Amino acid sequence: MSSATAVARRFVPERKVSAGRALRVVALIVLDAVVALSVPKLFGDGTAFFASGILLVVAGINVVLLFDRLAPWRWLAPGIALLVLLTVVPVAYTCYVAFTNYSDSHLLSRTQAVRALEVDTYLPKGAPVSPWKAYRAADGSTALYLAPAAGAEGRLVTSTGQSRTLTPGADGVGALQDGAPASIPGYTRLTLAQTVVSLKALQDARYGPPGEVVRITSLSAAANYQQRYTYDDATETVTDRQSGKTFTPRRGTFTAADGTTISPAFRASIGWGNFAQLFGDKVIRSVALQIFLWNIVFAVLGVALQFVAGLIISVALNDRAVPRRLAKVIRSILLLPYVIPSFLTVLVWGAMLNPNIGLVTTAMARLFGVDANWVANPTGSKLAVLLVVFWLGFPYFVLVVSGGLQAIPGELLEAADVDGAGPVQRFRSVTMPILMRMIGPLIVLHMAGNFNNFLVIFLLTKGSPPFEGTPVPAGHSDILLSFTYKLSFTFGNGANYGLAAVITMLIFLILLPIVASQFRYYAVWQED
Amino acid sequence: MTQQARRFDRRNFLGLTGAAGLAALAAACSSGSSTGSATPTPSPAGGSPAPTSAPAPSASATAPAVSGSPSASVTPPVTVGNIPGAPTLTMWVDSQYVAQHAAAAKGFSDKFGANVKVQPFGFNDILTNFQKAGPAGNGPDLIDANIDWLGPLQQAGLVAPVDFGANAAKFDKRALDGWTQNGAVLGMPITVESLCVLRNPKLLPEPLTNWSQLKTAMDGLVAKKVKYPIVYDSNAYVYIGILTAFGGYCFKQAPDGKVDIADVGLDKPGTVQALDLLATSLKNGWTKPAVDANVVAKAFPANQIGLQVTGPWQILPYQDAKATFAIDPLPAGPAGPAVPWLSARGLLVNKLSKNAALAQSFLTDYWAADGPMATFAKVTAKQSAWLPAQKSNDDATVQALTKAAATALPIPSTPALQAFWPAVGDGLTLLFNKQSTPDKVARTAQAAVSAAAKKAA
Repeated sequence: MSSATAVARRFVPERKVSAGRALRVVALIVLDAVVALSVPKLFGDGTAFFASGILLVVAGINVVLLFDRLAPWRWLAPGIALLVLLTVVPVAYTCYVAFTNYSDSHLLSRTQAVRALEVDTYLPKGAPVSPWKAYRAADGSTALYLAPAAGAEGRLVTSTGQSRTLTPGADGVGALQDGAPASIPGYTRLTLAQTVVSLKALQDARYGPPGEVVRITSLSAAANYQQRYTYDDATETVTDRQSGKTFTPRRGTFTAADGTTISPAFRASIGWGNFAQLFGDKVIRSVALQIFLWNIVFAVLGVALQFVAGLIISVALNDRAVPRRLAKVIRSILLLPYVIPSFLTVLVWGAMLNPNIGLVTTAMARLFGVDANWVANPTGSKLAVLLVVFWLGFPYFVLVVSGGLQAIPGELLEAADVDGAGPVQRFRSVTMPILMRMIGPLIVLHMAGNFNNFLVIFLLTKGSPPFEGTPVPAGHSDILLSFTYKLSFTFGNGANYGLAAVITMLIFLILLPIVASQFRYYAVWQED
Repeated sequence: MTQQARRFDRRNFLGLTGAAGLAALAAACSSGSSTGSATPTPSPAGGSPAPTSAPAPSASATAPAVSGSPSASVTPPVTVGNIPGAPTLTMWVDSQYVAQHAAAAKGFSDKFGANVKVQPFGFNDILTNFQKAGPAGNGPDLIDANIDWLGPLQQAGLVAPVDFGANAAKFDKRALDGWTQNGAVLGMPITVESLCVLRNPKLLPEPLTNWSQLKTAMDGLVAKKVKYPIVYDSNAYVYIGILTAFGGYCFKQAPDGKVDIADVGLDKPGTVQALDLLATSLKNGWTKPAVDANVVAKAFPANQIGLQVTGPWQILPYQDAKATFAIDPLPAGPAGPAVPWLSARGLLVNKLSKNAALAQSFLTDYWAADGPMATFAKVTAKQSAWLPAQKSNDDATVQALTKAAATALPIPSTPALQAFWPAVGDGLTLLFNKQSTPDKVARTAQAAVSAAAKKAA
């Protein structure tokens, strides 16, 4: 680091205002100005985390560009920026969501919920809904002619707050035509097409004097609709003007003193609520534990099988007795399962394992008398999942192990030969140690990846068969991720992002040590 | 030697990348052409789901209006009308009905001088996308929706009430009831759908009118060595059509459509009896586990299925396969006629729409009329939610379906319903796998749905 700074110093002369530096400062000023101007927008609803990330990155850019001493960091900056925006921010956001009730029923932010409430209207009892036609005055203001109910007179209400009765055919007002006067002095009647074009303005305008404001809700209806809910910023309460009730926010729901609530609810922090829901129930806890244990078996065993098969095949193909060209052909064919999109493979396996028409199941039933529906029993479904994972992954290890075997120096093996080691001894003492050093990290990373192999589970068994008598949907072949998916998106009152975030956090914590263990392997190659 | 080996390796590698590319391309093509049919597949709507598969997530389970048409493919958005300066209504619709919706919107565009943009989506994607885009103010003006979305969407504050005035009386009351919450109509139902029994008349000349006749009919079919004498589309939506004949229910529903979500009847004796019926069918070999859409698609045309308790989604595939079938109402039971759920598809207005008034007019001043309603029902071969159009449709299939749906009640729109699908779906899976008993299945489902109902109340 210090030597890097020294190198950088040689290229960035200090205390000399170069054109490059001036350009840099100008660019920074422009960048900062743009960011500063958009900060209020950035910190809108629900984007605070992303906005903080951006601010952090911009601040970092400023620092490394302004201080020449930090010149080496300029090379690291893009990587760090991406790390912050694509990893740190989402992780922080997930942790935050885990402590909120963010779900389908608490979808909006508070601001959005208030906005949705404020557009709610109600029609006071007895207020008529009238068909209307629009007119435009010379000064651009608009007016509505409200067709009368039986026995009443038509009215003209204007966007300037006036209201007067009109008698068609008298006082210069045109006769009725299509439900409204053909002409009104001082106004031009809008055709239907014109009305449609200016409908947005008409729907946002308020007509008539205060107290009996008329607004339109469609091309055929206008009435004295009144705003139903008002929000008080100071007390953070919502008042229902129709019933007079006051609602205070309680855990993301506006709730009145008598317990009635109004929709929509909004996202709010609920502390450890999601954790309590998940771990407070004994049955859910035991199901989650079983799924967790199976998940580990699934991750480890799946990859172990892939590796062992890959190892055996590669060692066999690497044997001097096998012609080189033949070995290559076999290796290429073995790679086929790897290059076919895995979702197709899984679906094909699913069809082959169908108890009624599946190739594998019906053949097994005929040959060995195995129950054709074996995939539906707890152990059978796990075996099926492992089988497919194995099928999908072993070609990868054939490829990797073959490469590894070819990279083992022939001299070492010859030396072992000279020392009198047999094939087994040679394999155990020379080949395996070198091989494991090379592909050990790959195996561990594959296990970490397989831990979250949602695709196979979801497409093959969907976690089936279900556990009996659980209050949550969960199955014997479910892994944590597919369990999360069921728990969060197909169960209860719609999607529950808070609950999903809790399990995501857990999976993150479980995988962290596995990934951290990689550093040990990387240390193998370190040169000091 | 090493040089040569390396060259070989490179060639192998190139070949490999080529193969991978080809495979990816093939995948892209196949996924492209199959999106339409693939989307509904995981949902019971796309066909009879396997008893081994859990019911589809949430709302999708009740979307029988999605028929698994294999010919559907990715459709581009269609803009109707090209009037400069005029406002444009955006609507998200099921990609299978883009053309029909566009044709319907044409009349509106011509009459009112507005443009309508019809944006296709996989049906269930409409809900999830709307839940994301809606709150941010980026939602469309209208969406194609089903009854059971209304609960969650209303709760999320995304639906604007619509007032049809005197025209409300012209709707199938059950459909409009389903679309009503707390006295407010939350959109416009267009088509309705329920369940039916598809019968192979070559194997069974007479319809099954009561479950008490099942044994005789089944014994006959077993004697004829029919492979699947009866198939129950084992999803929770179909299940309601069976258990109501025995006096069971999910939520207590009055004939006027009122739903009492505090009264959950999934462990009532009638429910257990219905589950017993399924268990008996399985035990006697009348039906088999894991009979999914792929299985029936081959078996029905091959005369291997006597009866199938299913819904209209199964009709198009069988018509395409030139299968012979008759459409019967669900059998009655000890508690009287079956009361399946009526699902009603239609359009709803985004509460945060910037064209709210125009979107309202689209429904109240244009769509809710004999012309558009009758045409839409005709071109989609569906039962209309508009009574005059329902009566005027002379299509034999639609008439048979209408008859089968005569006793149906609207599907409840409470958010608590979303706990029903996985709970009952899993229960049925266990029952068909012989891994649980009717008693336990009933109790578990009851517990799950009651808990959700308490939360939703």
